[in-house]
Amino acid sequence: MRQPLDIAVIGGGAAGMAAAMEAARLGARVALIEQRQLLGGAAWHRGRLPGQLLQAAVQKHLSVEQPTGEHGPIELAKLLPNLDATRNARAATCAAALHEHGVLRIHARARLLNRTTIELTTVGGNQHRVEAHAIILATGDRPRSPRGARIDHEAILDMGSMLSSVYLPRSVVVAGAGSSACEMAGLLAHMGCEVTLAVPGDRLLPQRDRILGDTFLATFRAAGGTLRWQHILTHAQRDGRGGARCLLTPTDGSPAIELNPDRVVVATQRKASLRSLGLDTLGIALNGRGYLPVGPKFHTVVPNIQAIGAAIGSGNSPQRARHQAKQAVRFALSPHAVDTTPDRSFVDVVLSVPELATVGMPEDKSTGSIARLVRDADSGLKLVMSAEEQIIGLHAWGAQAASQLEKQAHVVQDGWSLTQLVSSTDPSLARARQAAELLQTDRRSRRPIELDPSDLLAGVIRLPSTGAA
Amino acid sequence: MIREAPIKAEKVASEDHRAATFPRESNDPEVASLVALLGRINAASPSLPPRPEVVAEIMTLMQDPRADSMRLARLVHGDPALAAHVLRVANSPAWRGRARIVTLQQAVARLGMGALQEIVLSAAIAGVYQVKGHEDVASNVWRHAIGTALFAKATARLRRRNVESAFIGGLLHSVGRPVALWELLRLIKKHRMNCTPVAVRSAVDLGHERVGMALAASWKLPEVVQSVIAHVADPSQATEHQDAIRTVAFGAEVAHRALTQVSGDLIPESPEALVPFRHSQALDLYPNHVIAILEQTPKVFAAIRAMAA
Repeated sequence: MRQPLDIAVIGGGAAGMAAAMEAARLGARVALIEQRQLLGGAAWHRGRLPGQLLQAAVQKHLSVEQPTGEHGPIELAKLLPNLDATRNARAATCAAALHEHGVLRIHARARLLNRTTIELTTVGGNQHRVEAHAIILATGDRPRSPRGARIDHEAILDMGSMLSSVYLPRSVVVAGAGSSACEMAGLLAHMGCEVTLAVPGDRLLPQRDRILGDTFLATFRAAGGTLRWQHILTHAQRDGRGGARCLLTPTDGSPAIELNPDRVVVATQRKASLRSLGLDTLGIALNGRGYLPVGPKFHTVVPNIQAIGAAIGSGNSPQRARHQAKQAVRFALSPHAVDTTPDRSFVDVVLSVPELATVGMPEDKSTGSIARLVRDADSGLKLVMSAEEQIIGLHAWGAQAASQLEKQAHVVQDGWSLTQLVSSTDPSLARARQAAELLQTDRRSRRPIELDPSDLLAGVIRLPSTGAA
Repeated sequence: MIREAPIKAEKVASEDHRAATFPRESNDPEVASLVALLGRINAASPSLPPRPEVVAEIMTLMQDPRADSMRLARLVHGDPALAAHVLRVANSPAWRGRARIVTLQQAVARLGMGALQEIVLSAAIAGVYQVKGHEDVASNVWRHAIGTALFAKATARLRRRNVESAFIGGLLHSVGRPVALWELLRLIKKHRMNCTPVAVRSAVDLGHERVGMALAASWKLPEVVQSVIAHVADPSQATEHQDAIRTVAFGAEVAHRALTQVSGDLIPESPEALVPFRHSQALDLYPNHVIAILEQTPKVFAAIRAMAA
């Protein structure tokens, strides 16, 4: 390849795919370099997809009456039907999309030799070089072992090795408080595993609205799960009986608790997946959280190298990754361009039972905001409004919560006012509208709105007397 | 640089990967008739060897990490030959520490129950790989199976996949070979057929997978292990468990090469000089990954020597 590329994208997940296709659409000469044969991203192939299948299996499991008494071990693969077929279909679709857009797809591992030269090593060991005016890193993130707990993929697992186990464990300690930890802990608890969730802080899903963490907690406890608040996994190793031994140390300095589960799943920390990229030689270093620091136009400390997606710590929302990809490509092709696209909020999903979905601001992260909740037995929606009466957050739970919220997300993304929402006739907004109407009533009557999380802990959600429950 | 001598290099070559490249049917009428005999075997065939009781027990123990070490010790104690084998393996260079192990309790403490379970499982399955009059062939298949299990396990760990299915799948991936050979010899004798050794060997190459699948179903092995046995020769034909199947196929390929090559040729001086492996690309194993797995060869050889002794 003699003529330099306009853009080389490294990474074939949602962010990388979107960046490459957007660049091609804008007329750039672009190549996408992915070290795995399957396009689509490891996060999707090894996390999201098997997670979705397991979630569906758990919902099916809960919908039919289970025979009482002892049952044999459950083969995990039987809970994940068509996993390979779905993976392959997705990868083929991605490859076809790249081809259609005229993106050169390179199956190789990349290493940056300098700010414009990339060394490629094919899986067969052949080496080539490509030059590119701009480079976009979209390599995603990966789990990292906390100190004292080396992930051996045998008894000490990460999400990927848990989801590729032969059998479901009978007892498990899950360490973490984020979406991965909640997903795994919740689904295993619903399948009858004895689950202990070790939470480093004092709340679950700390980045999301408290209602979602509390809703998860209520169902997790109802399924028999055990919580260890403010406990950090400080040691985990395979024990002599084929299971695991782990120590959970309270953050208040109390003595550590020793547990001997079948398996330990570490879902505490992640970091940018950048091994072998050679970024340190260019002076690009990870920040304290383990991600690539970037400026407002996604540039790293090297001006022509940008980073997007999970590699910069923005989570695994495909919509957010695509949005970042489009912005980054525009800045790469026109460095002086001004970003005119508004800030967007994207739906984040927790694949638990019930499914949790969120878009926009949590109530407790916006000063002066007020919220209203509408719910029925199995699902609910919380609407958060700013002091300026603008809808700033929607937080939902229940079956298909994510797809329901996708239809309503524009209310937050476009900054709808309370009045605008109340007067809308869009049937998909019925529940949000109901919450908005209640908020309006509350505002007029100056009635205080009470949502007591402690009620949720007991599995009961109490609403104000005029609530829609 | 590893300077390990190969183990019985002369016969292993034909025992594994020929099946992947041979046609599934034979034009030779003699071979075709023998393959047809194997084709009649199904999970309900009375001639299939029953699942050894120890295998059933050990599979249950492997599925139940809460099972205590006493249960395993009792199981092994109940079979003096098995107990002697376990102690011999535990005292072999592959596992031995500074002090000699004289009791099973010491073996559990030293090796851990997971490793001991693997040793016991392999010892229990080893019986299926014994074919009277053809001990050398069966023994080479067995050594290759152990090597496959260990290389597949190393591969799964490197790729951040769960290692259980890799080990069990590797150990059992070629279980149809000795059973097919044993069954053909029995039928030839029973029907007083006149067959050449070459025809028998070709028929085993062509028909062993079906026999292995029948045995796996009869033994009620996990679905992933059944898929490995069915598709290890051509993982692209599998609709499920492709990753586990490819991992075992790669383990088999590495084991085959390790057992048949001089070790100095196995690991090159530089990644660029690495002779490609057929299944490494599908697993996205880059040369440095493959070399890291090949560097396990001395440990794997030591384990093979101990477990197949």
